[in-house]
Amino acid sequence: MPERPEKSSTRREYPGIYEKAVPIALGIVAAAIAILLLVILAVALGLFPGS
Amino acid sequence: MNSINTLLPFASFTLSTVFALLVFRRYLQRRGPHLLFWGIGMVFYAIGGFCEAYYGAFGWNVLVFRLWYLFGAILVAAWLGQGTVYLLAKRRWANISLAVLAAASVYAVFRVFTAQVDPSLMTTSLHTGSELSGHAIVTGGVRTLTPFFNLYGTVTLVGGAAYSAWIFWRKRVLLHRTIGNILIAVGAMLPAFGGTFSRMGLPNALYLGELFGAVLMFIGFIRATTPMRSAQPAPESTASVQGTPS
Repeated sequence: MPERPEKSSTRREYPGIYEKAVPIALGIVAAAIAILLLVILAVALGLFPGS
Repeated sequence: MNSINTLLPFASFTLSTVFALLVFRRYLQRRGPHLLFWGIGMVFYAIGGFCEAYYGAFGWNVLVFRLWYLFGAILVAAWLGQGTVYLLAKRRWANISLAVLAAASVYAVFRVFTAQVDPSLMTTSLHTGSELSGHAIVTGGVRTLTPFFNLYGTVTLVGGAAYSAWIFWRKRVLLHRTIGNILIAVGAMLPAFGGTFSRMGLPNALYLGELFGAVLMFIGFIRATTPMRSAQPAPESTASVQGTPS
């Protein structure tokens, strides 16, 4: 019985630097969103300086 | 007249006007409702910049102040975010949220244009009065509106762009849209951070945040709508990784 040929992987990857840079950027954006939401909440509650 | 407080917002006004025209042109070509609301949002951005530039050049004007606060401080983020809602959410929910946003905006128009204002209140221990500030509003409850609109704008516009970028990255597709959405998310946050630092007394922070925010969102929009000719992800075969000719 002939052997079946090995299936090749079709896993996609972004080129070089983007594989590293994109998750870092997304992490920074997520942290910044959290900070911004806290600031908005603080402003709404009058807790922020200059409110 | 402080030239930096005229030039910075005038640059924001110019860039956001060009941006709005490009978005509206794309809307006329493709008819996506998300493009219509992004265009409307960028018009609001431009109005805010124009009002700031006017104040820097000519000084206090009560109509200009009201227009600045309404469009630049209250409405802009929420209406930009509404475009993202139309892009990502089911049409029914987008229409419902639009109805709520429209009603809230009409209420904001009424409150801002009936509010008592006092320009001397813009000058405090932390503010020189050279930038426009919501402190000029005397009537209670008006400035309280702003965080709710900004919260909606942050979640929809910034969150929506970040979510889109994450989805594209997770699937390793459309790299240009991943990059574009990250730039849009960062750009959309800069005016808010600029306003925050301005509250802390950092001079020109608001206007710088608005300008760089517009720049990044513009670059992000161009990037997201322009496929990259190279550096697109391609399927990787096990044979090529192991050195065997594929």
